[in-house]
Amino acid sequence: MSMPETKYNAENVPVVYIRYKGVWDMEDLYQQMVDWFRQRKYHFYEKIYKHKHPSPFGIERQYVWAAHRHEDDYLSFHISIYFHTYDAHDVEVLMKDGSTRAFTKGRIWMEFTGKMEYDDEKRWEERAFYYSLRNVYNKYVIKKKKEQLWWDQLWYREIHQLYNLVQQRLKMESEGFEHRYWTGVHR
Amino acid sequence: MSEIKIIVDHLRMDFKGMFNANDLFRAIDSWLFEKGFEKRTNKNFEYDTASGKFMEWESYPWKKVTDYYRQMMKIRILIYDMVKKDVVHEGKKERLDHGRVIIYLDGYLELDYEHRWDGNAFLQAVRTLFDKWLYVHYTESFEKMVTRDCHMLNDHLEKLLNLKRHWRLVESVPA
Repeated sequence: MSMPETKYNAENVPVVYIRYKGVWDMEDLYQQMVDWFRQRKYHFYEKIYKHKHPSPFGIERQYVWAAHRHEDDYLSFHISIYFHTYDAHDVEVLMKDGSTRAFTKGRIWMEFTGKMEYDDEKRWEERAFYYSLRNVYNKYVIKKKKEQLWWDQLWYREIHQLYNLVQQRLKMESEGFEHRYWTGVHR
Repeated sequence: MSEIKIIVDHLRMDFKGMFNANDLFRAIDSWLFEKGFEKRTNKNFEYDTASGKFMEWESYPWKKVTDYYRQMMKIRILIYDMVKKDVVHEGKKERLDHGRVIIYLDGYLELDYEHRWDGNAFLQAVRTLFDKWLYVHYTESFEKMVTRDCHMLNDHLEKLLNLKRHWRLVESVPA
């Protein structure tokens, strides 16, 4: 039996939200987001895809995505996305080159969050002594590394980058963020 | 529970005219980055309406000052009826935004954010004793930092939106 999750073996980051009402390219948004996970070698799961019965205002869809990646033997990053579209219906859009494409008009609600998990292979849970040793290690030995390095990597390099990608695809005014190179330029 | 003190309560700025929305968000972001604040955006809403875009953006950046004090801000931006307009600036055509912008700034100081002194009533009493009497100068100095940061950001945004009144130095006081 595995031990319960405590603040010493997993740590959450805050949640960022997007609410948008307008016209967007759903196919492009979906592909870009999944591609982002694929390129960054995440294990990606679409846990829920719910297509609700269309109302007179449009279609309601729900997506729950989860992705995780092993950073090293001890640490792994988990990203969770909740994605809900309301009143969505297809509209024809005239592009700059004169061609027409089918876009989606409606409302979107998105939530992005994540957590850092330590010892996700549960190597240090076989005995109570190992478990206490791991707690001491997490609490005192790697405390600064957790707070100042890994947390920033997950929050700014992973989650905010994906968040910014969605803002760009939706052409939101608040796109871009200053922390984009905070944890390095090449990733 | 940790104690949260409201230091700056609803510093308000109201503006109507031409601006660049993306520049406004980036200016806040870069200011927070320079000052070492952590980023936390709670609301990022954007609606296309018949009269233009409506936006609501709310952020709660924070900065750990010590192991005991944490500085927090709340920045709330409301933009009404934002439309794109073409303007000529220094002989070049630019695309800017026009609309009404309301910005609220709040500043908070959180004490004992790691919840080390709220396990029981005795610890809380000791904490209060230290906050209010023994370490009162530290608490006050950190309160001043919150006030300074809020006003500095307010001033920075006023400059960006060109809200400052034009003035020039005079050598002698006019009669």
